[in-house]
Amino acid sequence: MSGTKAMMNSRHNILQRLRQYRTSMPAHEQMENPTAGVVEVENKVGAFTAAMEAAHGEVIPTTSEHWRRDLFEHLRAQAIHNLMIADQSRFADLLLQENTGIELLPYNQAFESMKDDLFHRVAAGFSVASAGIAETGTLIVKSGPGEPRTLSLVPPVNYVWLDANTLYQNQFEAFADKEYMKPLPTNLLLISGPSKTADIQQTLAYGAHGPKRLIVLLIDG
Amino acid sequence: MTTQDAGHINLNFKNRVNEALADQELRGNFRGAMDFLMQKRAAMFPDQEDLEALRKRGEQVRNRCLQQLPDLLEQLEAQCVSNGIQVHWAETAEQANNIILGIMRDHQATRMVKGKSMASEEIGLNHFLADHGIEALESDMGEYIVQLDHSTPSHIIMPAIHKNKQQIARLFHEKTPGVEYTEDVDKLIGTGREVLRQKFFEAEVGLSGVNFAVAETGTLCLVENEGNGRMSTTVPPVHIALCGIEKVVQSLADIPPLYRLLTRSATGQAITTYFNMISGPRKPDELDGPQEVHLVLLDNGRSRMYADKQLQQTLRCIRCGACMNHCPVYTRIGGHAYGSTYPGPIGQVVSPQIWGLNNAGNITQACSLNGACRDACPVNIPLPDLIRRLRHDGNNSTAEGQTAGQGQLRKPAEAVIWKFWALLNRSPLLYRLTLWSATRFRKLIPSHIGPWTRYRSAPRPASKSLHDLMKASGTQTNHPTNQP
Amino acid sequence: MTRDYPEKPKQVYFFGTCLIDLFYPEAGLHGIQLIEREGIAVFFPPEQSCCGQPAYNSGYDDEARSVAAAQIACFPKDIPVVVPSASCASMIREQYPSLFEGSSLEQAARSLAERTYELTEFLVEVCHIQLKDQGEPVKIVVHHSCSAQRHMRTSHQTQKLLNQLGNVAVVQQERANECCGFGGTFSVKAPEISNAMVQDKCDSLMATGAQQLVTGDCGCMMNITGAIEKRGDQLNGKHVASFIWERTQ
Repeated sequence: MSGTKAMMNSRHNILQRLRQYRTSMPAHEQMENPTAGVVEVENKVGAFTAAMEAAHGEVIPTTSEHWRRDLFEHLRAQAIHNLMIADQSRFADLLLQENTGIELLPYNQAFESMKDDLFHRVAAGFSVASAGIAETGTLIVKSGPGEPRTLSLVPPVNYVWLDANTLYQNQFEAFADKEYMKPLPTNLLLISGPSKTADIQQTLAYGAHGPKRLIVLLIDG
Repeated sequence: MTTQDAGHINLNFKNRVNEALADQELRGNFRGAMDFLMQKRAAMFPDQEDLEALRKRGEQVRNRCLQQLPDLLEQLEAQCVSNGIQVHWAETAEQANNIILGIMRDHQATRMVKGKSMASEEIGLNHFLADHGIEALESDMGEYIVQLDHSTPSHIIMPAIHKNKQQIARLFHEKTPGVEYTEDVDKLIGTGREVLRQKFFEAEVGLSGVNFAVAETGTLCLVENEGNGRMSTTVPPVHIALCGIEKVVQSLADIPPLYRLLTRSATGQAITTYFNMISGPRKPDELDGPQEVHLVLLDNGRSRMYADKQLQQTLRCIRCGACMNHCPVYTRIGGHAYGSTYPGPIGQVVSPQIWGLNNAGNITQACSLNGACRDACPVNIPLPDLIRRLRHDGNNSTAEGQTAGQGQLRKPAEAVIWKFWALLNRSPLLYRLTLWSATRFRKLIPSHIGPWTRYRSAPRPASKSLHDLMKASGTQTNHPTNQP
Repeated sequence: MTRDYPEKPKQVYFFGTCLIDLFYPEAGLHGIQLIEREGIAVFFPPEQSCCGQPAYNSGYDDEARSVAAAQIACFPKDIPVVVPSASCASMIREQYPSLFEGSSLEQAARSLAERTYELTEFLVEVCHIQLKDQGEPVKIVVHHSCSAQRHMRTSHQTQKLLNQLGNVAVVQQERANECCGFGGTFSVKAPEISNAMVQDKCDSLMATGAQQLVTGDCGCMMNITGAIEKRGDQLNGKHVASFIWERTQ
């Protein structure tokens, strides 16, 4: 039996069994409580910052006027010598205008051609979050032509731009916003800190496979 | 593991248990780890009422989704396909393995890097691929450690939890070239990062599990802290996602309550570092992402679990591991003693249903029915009831369930004992005769009666039973009249 | 998890439990005396034996059902049934309804389950008992069975009852919530695991330096005191009914 035919059989068998036995399932019971697990957050910037920092993320409070200055100051102070930014990033033009002494590397080719640089050369990547979640200190990054997902994954440092006005209180609120959520991009990423693991005797260590450092430029004003 | 391999679960269970109980280092490791995980979870749920409300919500969401499972699976498939994800259906572990092999062969691929997938352990993927000349390298730190050790995970969330720092340090030093012995956790993780980074770079195919599959949007959701899941599903040109059919949820709105319960119950985290929602391969105008995404839907006994009204509750499981963290038996025998991909309470419920009671039913004996697991389960699975039910099904070939191997665990000698016990206890005369004999001849009761007295002094019947005392006292032994 | 409790009745049944019947009859007697002292007439149907839990937990449902049916027949009148064990009480309350689902005894099983109470639960919530401690000062450690903690959820009522005794100091053991390893037939079917658990439990109890162990479940007591004795330690065990009765005479 060919592969496809066997699989069509499997599909049929599985669905048939499920349909046959589904009457044994309990009828849908009472109303689900829409407030269970929902935490309201008043001071969204404060909550976001606290949660992000508790997860070893770093938050640079800044403004729409000063964030580029703050970004490059930070890069210089941290002795981070290059920053990769997507060619079609929302802020590509804006950033490339600055003459900063930091080498700006454009992500302008398919991943296969960028792979070597990303893994071996790029010191920091720049991403733009389209929204955030205050309760859990979370950035929401939508993949797209201007947001290649490997930029917030492979380089050891990730700078992420976030407008405080786009902060949702909690995940319930974010996911209920149909206009924001749909249509979903190929990758919708919720990022809540630098990469970590506690797999060795429950001891927390940072910089497992994803970025070791996550630095948020929090635009407030 | 194949059904054949699973046969050893029953056969050598007692030996594995005794070995584990005698291993003081192992017991210390588990005691420390379980205490830690229980504390972390408790800290996330300070308010009992809020916790109960959230658990109830989780239970209802899972029930609603399961009730519609066949429809949701079809919707998931349609949405995934329209998103450009290729969907495959596997009734058995063997089929799943062959589908995955087929995809590898289609790309002439021999190097797979794996994000974490317990389902892939369940089907014995790594061994199967190795038999076909394909290297499947684990990239989750815990899985990587366990793979270095030529072993299997002992916990569904923290695979290397059975090892302490010193043991892991020794392992890295012995198995990784050029690595000096160090117990510095940051350095050890750094080594893992370096080694695995090269593997991500080279891998031709990445394989992951799926935590939630959203039918409404055709989206695969992955929960992780390390980033290896993102690496495995983003860097290689092909991504294969292996997903148990019960993982489907209806809509995006179902995610927040379940994700919230999962991270808090599993590791006491408010949220994990990454929550990755994959809805398709690289689009034409995108620069990165896999060129192909495959979803392999795995049945392997799940549709049979679905058939039984009581046992279908098994399918609510969101694989958080809280049950085993709270289980006093798991804490003392560790995960490997169960001999199954899935250890602890959920393992005792799921393993016999996947591989048959005749292969894996014995592990249901390792339970005192104390209920700590049930209280910890974020979706209110009545685990002790299900374990007890499987004991019944193991003894009873005419049981109503669909689990393979019903009746094959029945021990004739034990069956006779219970028949005799029932006879004594439903006849007031025989019962009181037994009481009389036991109390009057109490001095004759031997001090060694089997397993009980191995570790405890023999219980001594009283000189007069309660029935005797009732006769002597003024307590009414006839039935109450209807007068006040 | 809350339950509606009735007004104090004039009559109750007492279900002694087979373990108490054979091994700790004084616990049963003292339980009855405590209830009678509250002005309630207690009836002890002599046909009673065992709730059926040992067979049920081992997966021998038919055998359990036949014995359970005999117990249902012992308590026909619509008055409370008081049980000096959370384990046996929970068998009746939680499992009897499903055990008899679809059978001719379903209604009777439900009715019995509805009006079954664990002893300390009954004394606190229905009798609103007031205790006056006449005993000498003593330091005790209390073991709540898993049934009391997680099935009947009556451990807090047992605690409330003991808290009324002014001369009694209660010390908390480490990992108080953890199972002692009895689990009925578990202790003989998985004896090594059960032993590992009871040894840890004995360690934590002995470490408190308490003079007396008090518990609401005789299965646990037999398990723990049996292990304590075998390993040569000293800690006396008493059922909560006996402990209270002796101190409030």
